[in-house]
Amino acid sequence: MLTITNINKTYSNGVKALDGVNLNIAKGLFGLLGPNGAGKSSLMRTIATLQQPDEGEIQFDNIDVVNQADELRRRLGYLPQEFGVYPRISAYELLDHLAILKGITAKGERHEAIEGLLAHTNLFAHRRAAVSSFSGGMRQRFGIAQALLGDPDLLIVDEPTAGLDPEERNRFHNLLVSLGKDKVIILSTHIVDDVSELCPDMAILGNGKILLQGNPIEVTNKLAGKIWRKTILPEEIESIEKKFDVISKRLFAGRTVLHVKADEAPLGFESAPATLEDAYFDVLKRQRSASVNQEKSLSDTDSFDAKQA
Amino acid sequence: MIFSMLAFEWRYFVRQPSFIVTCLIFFLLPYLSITIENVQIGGGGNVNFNSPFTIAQTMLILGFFGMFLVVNFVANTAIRNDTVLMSEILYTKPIKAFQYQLGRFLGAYLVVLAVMLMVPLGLFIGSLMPWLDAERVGPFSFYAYLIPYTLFTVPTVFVLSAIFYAAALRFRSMMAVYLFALGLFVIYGASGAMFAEPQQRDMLAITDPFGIRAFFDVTRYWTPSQKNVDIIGLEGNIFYNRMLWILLGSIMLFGLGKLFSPLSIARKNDKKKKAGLIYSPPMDNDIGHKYTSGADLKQFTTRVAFEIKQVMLSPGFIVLMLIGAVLVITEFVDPAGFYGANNWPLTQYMILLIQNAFSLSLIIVITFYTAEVVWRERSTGIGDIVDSMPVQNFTFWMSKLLAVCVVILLLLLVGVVATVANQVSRGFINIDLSQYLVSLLYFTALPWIMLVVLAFFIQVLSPNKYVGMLIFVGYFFVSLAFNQLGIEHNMFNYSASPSMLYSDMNGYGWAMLTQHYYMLYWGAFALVLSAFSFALWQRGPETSLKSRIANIGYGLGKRGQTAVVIGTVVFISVGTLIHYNTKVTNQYMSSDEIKDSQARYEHSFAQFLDDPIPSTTAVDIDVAIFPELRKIEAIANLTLTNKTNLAITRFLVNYPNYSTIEIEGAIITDYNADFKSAWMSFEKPLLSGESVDIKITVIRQHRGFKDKDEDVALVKNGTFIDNFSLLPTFGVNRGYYLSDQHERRKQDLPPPQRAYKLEDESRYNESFFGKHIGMIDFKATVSTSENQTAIAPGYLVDYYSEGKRNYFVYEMDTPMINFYNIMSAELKVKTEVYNGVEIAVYYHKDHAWNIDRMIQASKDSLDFFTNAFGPYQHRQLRIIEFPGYRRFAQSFANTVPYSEQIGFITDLRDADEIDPVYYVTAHEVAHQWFGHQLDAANVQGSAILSESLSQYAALQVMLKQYGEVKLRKFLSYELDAYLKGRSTEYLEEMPFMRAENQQYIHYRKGSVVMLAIADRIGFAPLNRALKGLIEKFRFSETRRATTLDLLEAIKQVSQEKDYAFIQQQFSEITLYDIRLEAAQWLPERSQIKLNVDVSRYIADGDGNEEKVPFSDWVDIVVFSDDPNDFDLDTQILYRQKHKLSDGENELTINIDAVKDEKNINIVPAYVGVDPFIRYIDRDSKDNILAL
Repeated sequence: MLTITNINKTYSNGVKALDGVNLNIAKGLFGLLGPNGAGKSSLMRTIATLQQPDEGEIQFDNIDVVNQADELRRRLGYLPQEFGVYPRISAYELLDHLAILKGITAKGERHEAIEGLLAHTNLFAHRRAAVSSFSGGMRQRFGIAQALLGDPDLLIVDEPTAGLDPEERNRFHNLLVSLGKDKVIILSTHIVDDVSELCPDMAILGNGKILLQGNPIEVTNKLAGKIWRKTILPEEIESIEKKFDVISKRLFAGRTVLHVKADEAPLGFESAPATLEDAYFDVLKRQRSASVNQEKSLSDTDSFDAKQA
Repeated sequence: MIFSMLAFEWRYFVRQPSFIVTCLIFFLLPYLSITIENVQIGGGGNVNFNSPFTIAQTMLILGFFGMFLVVNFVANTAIRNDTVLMSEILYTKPIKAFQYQLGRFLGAYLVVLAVMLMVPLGLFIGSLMPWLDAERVGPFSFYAYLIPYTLFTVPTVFVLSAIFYAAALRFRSMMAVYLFALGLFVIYGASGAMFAEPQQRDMLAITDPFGIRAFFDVTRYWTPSQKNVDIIGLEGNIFYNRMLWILLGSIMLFGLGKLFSPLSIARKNDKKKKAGLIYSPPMDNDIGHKYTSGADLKQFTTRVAFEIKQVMLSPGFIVLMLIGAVLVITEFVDPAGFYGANNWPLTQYMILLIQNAFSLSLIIVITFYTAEVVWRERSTGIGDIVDSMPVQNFTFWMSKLLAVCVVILLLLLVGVVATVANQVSRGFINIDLSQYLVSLLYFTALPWIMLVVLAFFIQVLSPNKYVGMLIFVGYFFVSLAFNQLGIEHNMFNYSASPSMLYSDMNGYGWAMLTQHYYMLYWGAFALVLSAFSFALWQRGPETSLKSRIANIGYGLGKRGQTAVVIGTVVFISVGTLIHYNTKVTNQYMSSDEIKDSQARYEHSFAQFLDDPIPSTTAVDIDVAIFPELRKIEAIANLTLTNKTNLAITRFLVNYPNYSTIEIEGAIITDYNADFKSAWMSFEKPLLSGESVDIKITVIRQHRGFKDKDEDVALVKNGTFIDNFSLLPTFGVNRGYYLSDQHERRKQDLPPPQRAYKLEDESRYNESFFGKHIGMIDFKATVSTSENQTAIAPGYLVDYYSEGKRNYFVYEMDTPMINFYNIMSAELKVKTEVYNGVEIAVYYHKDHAWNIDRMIQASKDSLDFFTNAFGPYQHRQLRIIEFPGYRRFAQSFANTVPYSEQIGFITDLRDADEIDPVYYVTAHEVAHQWFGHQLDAANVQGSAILSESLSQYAALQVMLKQYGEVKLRKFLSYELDAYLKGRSTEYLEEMPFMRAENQQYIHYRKGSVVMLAIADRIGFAPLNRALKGLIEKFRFSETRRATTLDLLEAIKQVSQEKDYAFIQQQFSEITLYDIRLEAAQWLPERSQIKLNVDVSRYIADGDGNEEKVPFSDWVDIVVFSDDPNDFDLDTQILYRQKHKLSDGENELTINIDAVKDEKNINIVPAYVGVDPFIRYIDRDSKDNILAL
């Protein structure tokens, strides 16, 4: 339903935020995973009509997103990663204002939808308080409520669960799943669990490129039987990293647990069930080593590029 | 610590684009002011481009605009941590608050100083440019740059920085800083309005935070040569001003700036959250309501209401409105009144007050509100959410535009409420609401709103709000100089239109038509700007201008495309119409073209200047005025007589403007369209003494409209034209010559000659009215529309109505000078016959206040002058009001046109003020003697005989009516105006008897000098001398009077001891410095001890002074009360002339007891040395002391 074709974006400071991104996203929840600075927000903002790609096309249900921004906006819900609000305006009033901007002109409909959304985001009790006085979590929930105004067909939520307590996060996840049946929901996050819990489809973004796209279960299954685990002392890390393809290091009770990818069990390692996290780290690691190699091979032409820039 | 914070701020700012941009602006403005003659900030006239005075003045004026820099840099520093959300990180570091704050403050302060350093740099580099006129570049002086910079720029920027830093730290809001900026501006304006009287100058000079007025206070009377040489020092009020403001700045910074307070993050407005009504959250509500098509209108109205609410609820708004009210109210103290007297609060003045009050501050309002409103979503952080809503760009743009417009309209409304209250409170109830509406909405608000459209456009294109603000302010300041840059036509100055002059008599006149055209023209342009503004509206912070332009077709949409098409078509077609009307139907010349034409005229014809030309000796003129058409058809039958000794073969005629001319009875050749001149000759040469009759037909008519140079003489109601403007003039017209010496040099013309030498006897038979102007027999038939009265000199011998037109036939029975006026307007008249003279005042129906005063002044004057100077030559005296486009009164034979702007609308209810109506009337009546009976020869000093003597005559009538103490106030205005006038002399100051039509000499100095002489030799002998002079020269056409004759006549009635003084006044530029150093009242001995310091100087024409000995008689006067305060019934207890010499004088005077009505001795309260201003005292403030 949402087709992204060969999107490129370079910022004026020279940072290449998006590099040949291609994606095909069907109805349902779509997870966009990636580390900080991978270009997730750039991609989301581009889809949300807030910036234009240097090249490439985005189609949503026959709408050319870049050139028909207003048409898309009628069907869009967007929660930016960070946002502020107008001062001195209550949650209800601000939602009411935004609802009108979203084109819900009938007062009764607006009232019903706003109260419903306030209820779903557990803000109903605070509806008369100024949003500018809300705590971080409350404000984030307000952001979710406004994104859902107007029953968007394309919902883009950028790091939606940041700052939410576990209970609110669950509540939000349930809401997303219940809404996900008949709309495209793109959820960007760096929390792998969010994606594995919610999304039937996902992509991993690194350095502005799509590194991997697929169903989380299928992606995980590809690594089944190749992940090995060992608990070691910190001083052993270096020697093991030289020998094996270490994809993640994690502390557990003060000791380091290493995950290694290999076809056969390395000596002293035990088998571990593959998780989406393993797949994520694996992809990122491969991408990093690839770009290091590329940089080496490109270093001869660097000076030339600098002049071009 | 302090230093590292300082260095951090420095590094931070010098990398900001705003630093580069402001440096450029502050370099270029002074650079251009020096290198392009047309752009001027300071200087002018005889003053060098790089004179110390010009340098200081330029730095001061630009220092005023330095306020914007301070707001940008210093206030930005103060609250940057909050705005960029760094405060929580920074303030948890182990930082000492005071050092941290002070370091940052100093850093930002230094940055502003660095930008301001561009001003002297620009001036210096500008002065090196090779194309400058080398004669007007003085020697380089490092101190001329350094001293003003340290004396003014450094402290002023400190004061502003301190105030704004403190305000920003305390209120943690940029809006608070803007308001402080506006507030400072208000203080500046308010003190200017409140301390406008000469005696309040100290207050005025000291209360100016920028030091500008202190500078002008100290340099007020500086002559051109002083301006070129002297460097301002820390003297007089400059010292007090600087001390006061440095002190205030320090108090602000250290006292109120919270420099020592621990660093803390801004408190959030954490109001207690009220628990909502307790009912269960409606989880089952349908949240699936979707976008409905056709939401645009609802979105638009919501958005408009929202934006307006946001603007009006912001804390700054109420303060802004209050400031607006204060700005207007401070203008009520009307400093512009003639000699300090107030005018009635006419609606036209109230509108001017509102416009003046808001003109510059409104630019600040537009700049800041536009920036705040356009960038509101971005700065609150809700931008991404709102920008991704399905709302058209148009809705955002329009709602925000309307919000700013509402601010402007509400400000004007505040102005109207304040001024109407003022009118009512002053007992003026003829409030013209429709005039408020038209003048303020159509002529004022509309152009401002177009500026808002432009400001929006700039903000839309700009990468952030500060750059947008700077560009807009930069544009505005450049647009102020458009005229000087040669962009003069209003077609090229966005939102401008030909200036509107309102007259109660003639309403908006032609201005309504031009306003329609120009507003339509610029409105169409604004429409196109509007379309592009919303088409390029920024949605999302990373939406580059490039990509918005690439997608402009979509952004415009149908609505935008239509707007662009309609706008372009209207702009071009109305522009074509304007071009056609202003440049094809009417003549348009830029000021450079005019100068060139003037130079060509002089080059072509100067050689014929002394050719003999005939004089008009009889005039029979038929003038048909068609006021509605703004048309005059005149047929003049003139008798021309050769009064010269030579035969006249041919002579130059200059045709009047706006007219077509036909001449019968003469041969016209070589018509030159450039100068509208031609050569006239007769079939055979006109021999000496011969006469010839010619008939001139003039059709003067206005078609279409003009961009400038409107003909204010021929209007729908209030036509007033004299024969020099209506008919062709003969001979080379020196009045058309270039007068500015520098312009003349550039055009290869000799230095200007303003008058012929006093000793040039060959000119004694020429009149100062003009070389060939003599006495005529006069008859005029003037017709006009049925509701108007037409007036010309002479007596009405016939009056009739025919075919909806009124006909007036005037005939003069005594000789009169060939200088007459033709007038027509709807007028009421009040007539009184007094001693056989009919006194009539013709006035506009709403201006009846001072008619009786004018009649009284006329009677008193006729009485006094007849008695003192001889008979009045007419049986009638008419005063006629004409529209206020021109501000003067003028005396023709038995006829005195009198501008609407002076006299008629003066509010004379306050008896404390000088009565300018009485004075002007007396002066004009005096011209019937001095000017019309005593015609001056065409040499230096001619205006002394007409103007100074009329002043003297009028002042005697004033003295009789109002007494000496009040006359003192009048003379103090005159002395001040003289001293100021000589400081702006553009060529050379002449001694009194050689004045070359220099108003500050023949009016201002004339008053003081003539009264001083009268004080020496007595009024009666002086009047006798003048009477003798009139008798000797009355109506003489062969030998006219000069100031030498005047001097001789005065000497004949004086004693020898006064000769020296009289001669000094006439032939030298003498200045005195008389100062009462100390005065002590010794009650036990009934004595006053005085220390008086006296010096005398002789100045040359450039103002170089030389100290010379003084030994003369000076008035010592003791008063019972403050002589400056008319409310008190001040008595003079002692009055005696004492001989003083230069340097210190110590004297003791004995006071005879004077008893009041209760028989108690009156205690001396004030003592003055020369309190009645008999000497041209360079500083007359220090002449009176309280005892």
